Amino acid sequence: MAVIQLREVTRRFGDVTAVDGVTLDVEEGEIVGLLGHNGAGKTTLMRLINGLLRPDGGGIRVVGVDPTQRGHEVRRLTGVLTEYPALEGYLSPRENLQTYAAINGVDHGAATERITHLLDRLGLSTKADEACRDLSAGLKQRVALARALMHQPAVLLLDEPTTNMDPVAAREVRTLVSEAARSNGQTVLLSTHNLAEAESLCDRVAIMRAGRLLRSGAPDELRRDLGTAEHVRITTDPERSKSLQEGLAPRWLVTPLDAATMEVRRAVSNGAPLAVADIVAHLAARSVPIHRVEPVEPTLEDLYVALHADDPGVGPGPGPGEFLAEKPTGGRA
Amino acid sequence: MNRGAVRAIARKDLASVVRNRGVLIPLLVTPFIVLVVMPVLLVGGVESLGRAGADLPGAAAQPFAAIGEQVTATDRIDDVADPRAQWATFVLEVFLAPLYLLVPLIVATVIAADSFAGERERGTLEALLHTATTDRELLLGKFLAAWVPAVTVSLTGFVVYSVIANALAWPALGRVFFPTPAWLLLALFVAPGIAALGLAIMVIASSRVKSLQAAHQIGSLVVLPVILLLIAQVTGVLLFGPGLVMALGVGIWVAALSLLALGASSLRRERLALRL
Repeated sequence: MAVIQLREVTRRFGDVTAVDGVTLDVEEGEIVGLLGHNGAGKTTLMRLINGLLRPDGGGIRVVGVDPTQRGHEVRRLTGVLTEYPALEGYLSPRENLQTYAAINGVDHGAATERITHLLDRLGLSTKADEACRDLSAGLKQRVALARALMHQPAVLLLDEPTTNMDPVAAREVRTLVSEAARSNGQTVLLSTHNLAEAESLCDRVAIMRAGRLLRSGAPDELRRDLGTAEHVRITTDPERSKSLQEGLAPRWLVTPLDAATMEVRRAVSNGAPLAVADIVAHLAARSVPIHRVEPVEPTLEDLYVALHADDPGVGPGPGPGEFLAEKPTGGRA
Repeated sequence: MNRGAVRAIARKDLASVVRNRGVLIPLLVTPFIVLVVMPVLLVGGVESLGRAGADLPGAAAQPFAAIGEQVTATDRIDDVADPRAQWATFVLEVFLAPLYLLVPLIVATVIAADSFAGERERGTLEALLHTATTDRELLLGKFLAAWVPAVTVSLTGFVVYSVIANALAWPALGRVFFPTPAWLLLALFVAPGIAALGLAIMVIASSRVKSLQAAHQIGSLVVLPVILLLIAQVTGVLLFGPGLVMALGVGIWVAALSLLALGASSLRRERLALRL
């Protein structure tokens, strides 16, 4: 049974539909990433799951419990990292964690041990007794994450967990989240703007826009949905790069990346797989030396951009502009 | 009821107040002015005031004479003939009584404003709403965080005031006259009630306003009835005796409990979450 079950969940604020008919299951021990712009409905969805808000339509279950009826039971099962760290500024990280351990009913002895472990693990030991208001944004975010992990909840709802963190700290947090799911069997629903993070960390991603769930699935699966490589990267001798460009025109478009490397795509995109063998044969016939041929697979970012192609400020992306027209999707996952 | 959670919420709010000088200083200044500075100035300076009144010509001296007459007319003051003793007992027993009520009221409303609206403004409320606490535990934790300090400060202030009042009146009375029954009722029954009343009003107000500033503005309105009581005292319309104080206390507690019940129903998680 899915740990988090959302069925046609809808929530409106006045005339604005913040969450629009979202259906999604998150299985035990799974890490699911919610992707979307600001205002896509990610935070509202997390508040609905944790029983802070009631849906106007649809149903929600967390470990079989309905948050609209038994919200505090659901919240006992969840640990939440809010969009902003939301720490008590005049309290130290240790005191913040002690407070939330007590609120979540963690035994004092166990809490002390767990706090020491988390402070150490998140590199906060030297700052453990300083007032949180004096900490950097990244350190505050780490304390907030420790707070979410404090009572070892079955479900983690993490809103932008690596925001404001330096790359090293962000990697440590990703490792921690990954461990929570892989080793402890905790179920993780995280929202992020960081597509690379979602791709590396999440078993599945769910892309939201204007409250609707546009698509969900494993990153690889979604990339496959987007289509196979529509362009290829070819490396030749720097002095023969001009021959390569001339040899492929006008059937293919060639974009030089550096003196020796070119990106090659069809002059007219038709969404079909690029025939790499044709290109290689074409160049071989003209005695153009080929050192390396690398089909460029579409990334999660390509998919994300494709799904937001008509959104102001988001470009249609280089290749998969046809994707939306070919595969219209509803608000289901 | 998760008592550990209630205690943790109360402790956290209290620690935040105690460590925040911007909140703590006003909390200490009000009792100090009302319970130390004002009696010392009004009673300690009685002789000079009296002399000033006596020396002033015509209309300027009238307020002092009027107060003296009023004190005598009330029969509320101990049976003393010495005008200095009458003045001291009037100020210490009657005049400052309504002002004493400002102490629990201001302490409670300032902490409550910080605890509810302030927490939302700082963004810390959301983390709390995401915990397993029930709405009732949340309310109780926050209530205790403001009510316990308000009652503690007002009772401590009462003890300090008792010492000061007896010391100031000693030269005129030559005996320990304070606390009077009315003041005992005021400190032990009315003050906790008015702290609860202020808190209840702030709970209701804070669930409707979005900023700490707006909450403080509502909090400042809460003191108006106390100012009216003060005016009633000074003009002699309503003078604090044990019967009146008891009636006042009952009225305040009834209002406090009614508003707290209303506040509890308005303090719903969803309502708070909608204002995040």
